[in-house]
Amino acid sequence: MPSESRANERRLHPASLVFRIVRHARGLLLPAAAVYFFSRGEAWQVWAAVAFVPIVLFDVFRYLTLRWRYEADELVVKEGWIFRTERHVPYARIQNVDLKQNVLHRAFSVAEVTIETAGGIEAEVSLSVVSLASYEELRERAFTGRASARPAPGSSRVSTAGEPDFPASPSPLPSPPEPVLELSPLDILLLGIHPGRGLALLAIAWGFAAEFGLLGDISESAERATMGPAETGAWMHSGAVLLTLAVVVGVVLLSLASSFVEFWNYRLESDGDVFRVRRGLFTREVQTIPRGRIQVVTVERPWFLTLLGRARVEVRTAGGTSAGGRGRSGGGRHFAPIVRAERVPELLARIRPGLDVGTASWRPLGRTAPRRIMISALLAMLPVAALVIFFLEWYGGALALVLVVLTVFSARRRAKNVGFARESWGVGLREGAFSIREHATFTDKIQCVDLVENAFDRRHRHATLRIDTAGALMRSGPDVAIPYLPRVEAEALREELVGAAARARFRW
Amino acid sequence: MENEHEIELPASDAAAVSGEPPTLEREPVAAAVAAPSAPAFADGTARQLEPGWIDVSRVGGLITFSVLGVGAFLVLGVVALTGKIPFPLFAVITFALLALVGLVLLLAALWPKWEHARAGYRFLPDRIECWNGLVWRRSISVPVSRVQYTDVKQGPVQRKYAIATLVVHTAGTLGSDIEFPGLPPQLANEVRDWLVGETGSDAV
Repeated sequence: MPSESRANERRLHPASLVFRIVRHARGLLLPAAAVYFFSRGEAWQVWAAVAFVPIVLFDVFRYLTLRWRYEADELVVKEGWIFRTERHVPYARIQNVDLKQNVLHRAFSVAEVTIETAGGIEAEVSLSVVSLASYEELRERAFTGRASARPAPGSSRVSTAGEPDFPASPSPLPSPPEPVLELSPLDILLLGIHPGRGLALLAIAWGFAAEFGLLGDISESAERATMGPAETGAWMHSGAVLLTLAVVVGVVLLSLASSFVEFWNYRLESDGDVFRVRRGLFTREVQTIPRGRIQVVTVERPWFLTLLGRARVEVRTAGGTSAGGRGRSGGGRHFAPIVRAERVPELLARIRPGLDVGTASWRPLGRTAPRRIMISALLAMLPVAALVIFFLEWYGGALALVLVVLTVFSARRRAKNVGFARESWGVGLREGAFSIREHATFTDKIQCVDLVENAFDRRHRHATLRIDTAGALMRSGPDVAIPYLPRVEAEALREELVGAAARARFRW
Repeated sequence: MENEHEIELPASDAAAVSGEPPTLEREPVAAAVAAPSAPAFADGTARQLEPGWIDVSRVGGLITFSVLGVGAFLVLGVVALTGKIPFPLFAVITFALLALVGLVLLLAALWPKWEHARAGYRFLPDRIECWNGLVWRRSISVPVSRVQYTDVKQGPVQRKYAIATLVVHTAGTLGSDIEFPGLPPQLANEVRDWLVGETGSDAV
């Protein structure tokens, strides 16, 4: 493809110089302070100049040399002068285009833009900073702009245009994005409330307070054994309680505040083949998720939200884990952080027609699975209980008893909830004790299927069926791993799944 | 511990639990979807790893554990030189360590033979599969259409024993590099060429 003229090359926004220098200066602040305090006289100015000037020069150099242009079917980013790199990113391979805009960026109406392809952890292209117009152009080119690779609007689609499995909207003019979900202030408030975390916090704080009060009692009794039941002890105790309460209230308020900062103005839009998520009070983020690139969908129903008739939907793309991709369960992307439960089927159908975890026929695991879940939960709890008893003695015995009861209760819940489903869209896995998570992945996204057996599995004639997709997480394992499945059934399911996957063409 | 016994099994399942490698005795299910281009080796028969694989694994294990053993004795020697350990204790530790290293080396020599009996692979027109592991058994199935690219690896020891490792890369996250060890080099190359041809047709 002949390269276009320099006139077609785009550059970073001039303000990016300011931002980069400010960022580097911030990094130098601490060493600079050290130099200032440890050197005498005017020397610090010299040192600061020595450290700072090359960095400024480097930033100017980078600003001057980084350019990109749009070819018919790929984005070309050039950088450097002596060592030149030229990166070609086919539009068809772009997973996400994310925008981030902090308060300063907003003052200049510029933004940081990252482009992710499926390869790895780092963003493929990071443009910091560009004008909003450049971002719009980039987004258009990468997603809806794939249409421009066609000869003319109205003529037949060519195969290079991208997504044959997900036909673009036939109209050549882009239709306005359709709003799918907006969060109300009440929703955001609910997102900031974590009852489980709050309870744990309260328990820890109570433990600290008890410890504090106990220490007060001991020192007091050692010093003034002769005095009557001391008021000092009681005073210290109530002081500790007050302090504890203050800390708890503070943490809860902080959690609420951070929820507002993170989710203010949350909006999910559907724009042809892509979803767009906007959010943020101070730092605004816009994430673009192509519909066909979604590898795993997770519907999460924490008990607290279930009581209020709400649920949460997350999606996972192959464009992984860089800064733009952080979500609630690490790596997942926000889709609907909180939504009325009755709207979940509609949202899922938007992701893929026919997808609904609610009407899926969930099948149980092996007959001995509940027992195995219980035993492994108890075994995992054992060291904790032993430690508690060792350190807290009789008082710990009671605590250990509570722990055992809780463990048994949650293991029973988990055994009751766990299940898998094989539907026309793919495979589903349901798990969780108090927070039920339903994962769904699609036949055409399956990369490979493993059967894993350990010694216990062999005794029970079980196997774990692990379904690997491009959107799975490196650290926490595959999202769809079905444990304790009777091996015969697991093998048949694997046989069938791999066959279906082999027939379906994989599209990133 | 998980020691409850679970006996009560339909007779039809008996074959599946008799300890056979998971995919050994199965009809090639995928015959129906056989592509016309399927090569001769994609017939679904389970194959064992080449016998050379046992020796290659032994060499690797012996080298690794010998180095570790020598390291352990070096540490012991340095500690002994500081003179902090009384002689009887030193003697006991030395013998214990000797026994341990001997045992580990023996295991390193035996393990590959045991594992060889349980490891294997097979190729079907639409998928490739391999299985391995003694305590932790794993069996992997990769649809041919998901193969991104392939490598054939052959180290110096592998060359001497005339075996090769086929590495299949998918777009997956956990199973992105799947190794098929212990293949005859000729077959490894043929499989690679076949997979390259299959994936080349997929215009991603």
